[in-house]
Amino acid sequence: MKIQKGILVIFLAAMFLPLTSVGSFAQVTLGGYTLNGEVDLGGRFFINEPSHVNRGYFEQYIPYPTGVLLDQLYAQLANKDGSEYYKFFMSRPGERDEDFLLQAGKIGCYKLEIEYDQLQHLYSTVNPNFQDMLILVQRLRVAADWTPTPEIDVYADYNLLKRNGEMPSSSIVQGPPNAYAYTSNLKPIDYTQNDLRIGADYVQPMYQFQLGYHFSQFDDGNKEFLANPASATGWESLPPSNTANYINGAGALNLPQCANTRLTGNFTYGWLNQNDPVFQSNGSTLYPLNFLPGVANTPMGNSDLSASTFAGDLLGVSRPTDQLTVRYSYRAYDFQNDNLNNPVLINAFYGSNSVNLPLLKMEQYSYLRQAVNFGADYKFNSKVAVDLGYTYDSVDRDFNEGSTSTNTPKVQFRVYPCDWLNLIASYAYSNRNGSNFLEMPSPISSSSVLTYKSYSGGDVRNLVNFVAELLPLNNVTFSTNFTLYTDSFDNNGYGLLSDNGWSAGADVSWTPCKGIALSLGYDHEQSSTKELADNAVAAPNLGPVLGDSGPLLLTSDSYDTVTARADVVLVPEKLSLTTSANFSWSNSDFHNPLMPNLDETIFHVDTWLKYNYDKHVAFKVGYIFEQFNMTNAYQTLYLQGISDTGAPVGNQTLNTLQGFYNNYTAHVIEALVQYKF
Amino acid sequence: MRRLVVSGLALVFSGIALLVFYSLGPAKEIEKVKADNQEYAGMETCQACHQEVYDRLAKTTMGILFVNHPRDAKEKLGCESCHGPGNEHAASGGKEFAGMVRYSKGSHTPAAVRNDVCLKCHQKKQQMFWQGSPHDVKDVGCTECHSVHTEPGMASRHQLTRVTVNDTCNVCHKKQVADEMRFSHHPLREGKMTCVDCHNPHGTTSPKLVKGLSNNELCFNCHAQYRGPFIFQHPPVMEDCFNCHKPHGSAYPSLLKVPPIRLCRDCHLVFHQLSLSQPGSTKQAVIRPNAALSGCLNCHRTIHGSNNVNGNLFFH
Repeated sequence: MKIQKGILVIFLAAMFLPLTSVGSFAQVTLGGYTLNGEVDLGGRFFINEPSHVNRGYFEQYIPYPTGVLLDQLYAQLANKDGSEYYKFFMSRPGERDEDFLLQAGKIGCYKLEIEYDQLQHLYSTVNPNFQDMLILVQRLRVAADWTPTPEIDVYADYNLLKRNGEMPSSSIVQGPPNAYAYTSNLKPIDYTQNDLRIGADYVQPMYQFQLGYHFSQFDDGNKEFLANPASATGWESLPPSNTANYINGAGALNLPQCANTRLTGNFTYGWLNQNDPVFQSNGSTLYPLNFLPGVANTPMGNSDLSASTFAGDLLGVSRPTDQLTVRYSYRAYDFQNDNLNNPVLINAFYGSNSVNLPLLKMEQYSYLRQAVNFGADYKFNSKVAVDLGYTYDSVDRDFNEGSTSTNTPKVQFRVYPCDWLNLIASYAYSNRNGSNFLEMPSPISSSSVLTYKSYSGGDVRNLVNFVAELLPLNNVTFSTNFTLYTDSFDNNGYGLLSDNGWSAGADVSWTPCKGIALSLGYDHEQSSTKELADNAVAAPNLGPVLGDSGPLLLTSDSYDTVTARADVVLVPEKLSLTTSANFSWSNSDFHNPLMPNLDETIFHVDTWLKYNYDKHVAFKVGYIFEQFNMTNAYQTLYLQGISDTGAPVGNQTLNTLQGFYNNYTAHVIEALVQYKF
Repeated sequence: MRRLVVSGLALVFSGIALLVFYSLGPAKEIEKVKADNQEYAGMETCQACHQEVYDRLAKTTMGILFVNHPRDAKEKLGCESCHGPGNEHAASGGKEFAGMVRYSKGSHTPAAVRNDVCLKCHQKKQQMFWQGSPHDVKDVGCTECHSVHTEPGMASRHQLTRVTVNDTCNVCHKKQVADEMRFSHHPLREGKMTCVDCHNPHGTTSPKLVKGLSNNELCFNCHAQYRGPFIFQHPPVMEDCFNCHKPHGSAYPSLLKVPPIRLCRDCHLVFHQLSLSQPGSTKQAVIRPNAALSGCLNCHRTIHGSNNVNGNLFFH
């Protein structure tokens, strides 16, 4: 155990300060407002601290620095009855996961909130040339809500989201007809996103109405970067700045005289725009002269792309009797691509002698998604209920880019045979049909059409869910659940053929006596996918197909998770223990002797012992344990590569910039004093 | 598109016309409250027997409003605003409940009846689409997630029955809890995100209770860098982020459904034809696995869309 003496002195002093006369100040009243709150202050140190290179995954989102720790502080200034208040909260100030919240309000009249929080996304700590590869995410939220009367609500919500840092990125330095070779680089991230939402609600018992507007702007401080420094054409365009606007109206009508019906309608129209500079792979914004005569020659300027979305919904719920509930809805979502005649696109899709219009349409199409839903829920009595539903949805894409329709009937039974048993079982059958998609020629050849939209093609899905909840005693709850799904993708000569899986879980909660609450849960999930990837044709100049060549690609995943929690009062009103543990292990089998299984485990324990010294002061000691193990398949699969013999591939070694994490075991101790004022 | 816009506007105007029609009459609910006033026992009567509950309630948002600052006749009823007239209950010495709405565990008052009480005041903003939503259909009561009588702790918000949003959802959504333990996950288990960042449990017009017109618009709330439009679009990205990603957690990096090399082959065949244009075809050939199984994304880096005129293969 290594504890720096200075740190120890500081946090021990902080812990015992409240016990002295300095710490025991009385409740503060300011102009009729009373101040109260609590602060958790102390320190953190490691037992068996993981080395820096091994801490990447441990600190993926939250850092664990040692030393003095202001874990959290709440302060509230409120008038006598609490109707007017000012609240302040902060957590871990100065750390990368710091959080601040300021609230002010008058209950039933208005509320203001200003919130600032941070988190990090740490990609890797293993590269000796870079300290940490991370992005810092900062969020500022300002929200105001005004309720001049119970019927009217006006709100505004502003969000500022910033991402700054660097993330790993790879780039090819050599490809066919030679063997592949890569280099890696750090991609600069400087994203700013502004979102402003304003709106108003007007409500009456018989109807409600709301209007809203949402403005969203994304700005990228970097426009391009040199992904491959060895190549003059190694430039990559970074995500372009863009804006989106949405206007929204929604209304609802209660019609009690009409079979207790409630009708709800919603309408949203949005328009998107992207007008960032356009670059070439050599980093220049200039286009070669005479690239496409007659259409916007040099300089290219900006992209000026746009699209629009429309969503309309009409929903109804009727309850003609206490036993029967009927639901019906229609939903349309339209994505309209407005860019087919954009000169930049025409230039970009210019081929050897003409614009490759089919390819342009293949990417720049519009689509309309519609769904109709009917459902009826009938309660035979207090013990048995059945719910029948049917959904039809479709996606229609322009330019013969395929259409998809899905029929989904479903049934659900809810049975409550006695006070201590609840059973819910459901089954859904979903039949998805895709049409006008690419048809695979047989036999496949080098001239075959090779893209198939499996995510929108034919699929037959069966989905079964079962939940049982038992309450045999007042202090015991037991529940178990089971889910089964099968997906069979038809009309799909290659690509995804099937996707099957099931999961089962059980959990029990027990409160043996006042002051003790225990719970334990277990969940197992299994899934397998099958893909057919024909490897019969490989152009001779590309060399043999290596590694994961197929033709049949099987992936089997299994996941197991155990969760446990205990809340125990050891000495009433004095000493209590709270502990929670999560243990999860998974296995991914690729059914390829050249590809090792990907196994990983994570075990996390969080235990806190709290001693209430008096009504103002409490001491808390926490023990956090986390262990992470992953087989080196991860490195093989994602970083190093394998050859057809299973050996590491020469000159294809990606460096660790691609980002990965080492295994670790961490034991952390946090000691805090909580002071309520 | 134009027809849809016109239809939508027609729908909105029809709604407004209906609202105007209905607004001509007085609010029936308020009238009923006044008419039935004689059946109510009054808050002082409730307090006489339920002092402890009253004391806790008086510190909650609703309690402060009802007890000290009622804005209308409904709120003035205090306890009986939610539980219904309690005169008979009081007269029987607490033995009879006479149709009162009860919310305690094991209550025989149907969830729909209990929820109707809450909806009398909470039917706007996020709650507008409650009726017919998945939680409503499954008879989930408002009080299963929210506590009215419990004094809110310093850490709790929205008067939840548990300390955090995630703890509240986790009671039923066990599989999603398990998914949070996967190698690749959003920062939920670290406490830096909550379920309601993406879902509105009170009902939405979009599937799966997501807060967005579509899955994409949900993701763009934080990941607007993928919104585009791009010069070169990748159709599965344009249609649905969940074609490739599992938002609750995955064993594979970047929340992908399967390893990248296999994910791409769901749609693309295995050999790597270099020519963009296939003779006699309007569609395209693309991929062959490279030896480094880190996958296609080593080269095709801008897979979400490219704004580079040479980005047709998502290299740039």
